[in-house]
Amino acid sequence: MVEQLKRGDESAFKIIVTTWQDMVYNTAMGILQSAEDAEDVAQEVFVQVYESIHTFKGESKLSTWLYRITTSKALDHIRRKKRKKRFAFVQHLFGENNEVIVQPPDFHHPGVVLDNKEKAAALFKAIEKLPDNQKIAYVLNKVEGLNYQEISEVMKTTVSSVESLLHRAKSNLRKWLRELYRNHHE
Amino acid sequence: MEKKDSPDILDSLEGLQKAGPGPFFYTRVQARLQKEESGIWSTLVAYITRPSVALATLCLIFLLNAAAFFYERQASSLAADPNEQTVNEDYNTTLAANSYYDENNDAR
Repeated sequence: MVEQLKRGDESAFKIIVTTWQDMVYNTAMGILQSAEDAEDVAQEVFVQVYESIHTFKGESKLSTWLYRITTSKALDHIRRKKRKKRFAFVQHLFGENNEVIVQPPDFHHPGVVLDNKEKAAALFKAIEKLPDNQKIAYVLNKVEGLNYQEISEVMKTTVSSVESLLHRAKSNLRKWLRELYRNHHE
Repeated sequence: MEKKDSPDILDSLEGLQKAGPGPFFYTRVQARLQKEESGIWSTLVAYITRPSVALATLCLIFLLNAAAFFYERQASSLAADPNEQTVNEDYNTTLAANSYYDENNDAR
């Protein structure tokens, strides 16, 4: 399939998109926590796949390569959004922008079991605060269901590093969630 | 919100169903690809037609023409020099011949 796409076969590209679109979208959704942003990033990922397929040497699995592009594009998207937000805030301070800065509502992943909806929203709020590496490892593990070996291949690191990242991510999440509940009940 | 321990919340993503994009995703990717491709050309055209770029290009063309003109003039004036040299050489030869003739006359 990859070889066909390298030769410029459009039908091969269509098969790649339809085969991997859910995986790319779901990963982006887990990191970005917004359906609109996930759609935007998923499109960007496949545009990059089309444009840089010749750089794919086949040393890793296609899915691993797609996960790498998706995670890096999603993190870039978050950085861009933060920059825009800071700029809007500064404009707001100087009175140049009269738009009211609104906090986004709680994120509800469409695939969460109904009983867990509220708890999952709180968990996603905490995931948002994790450092980039911990966030990627946690989302790939919990949202995409990848094992430690697969995550280490995506993140180009060792399995023990992934274990350590996930351990730190979980302890951070526990701490923040405890604080959240303490504040909520005071 | 009920009071729950955090480990319970950490397990709330168990059994998560994977989310997917809306229908016709491939069509939207194709549209994005076309937009990006035409985007490159429209950016290029927009850049070329910017007044500052157009003016700078005109100035560059004018300078190149002026440089070519002066170079041509200089080259044509340099080309005239070898003729002058030939005339001088002829003149010197004549002088030399005259002096030889004069010398012979003196000898008589």
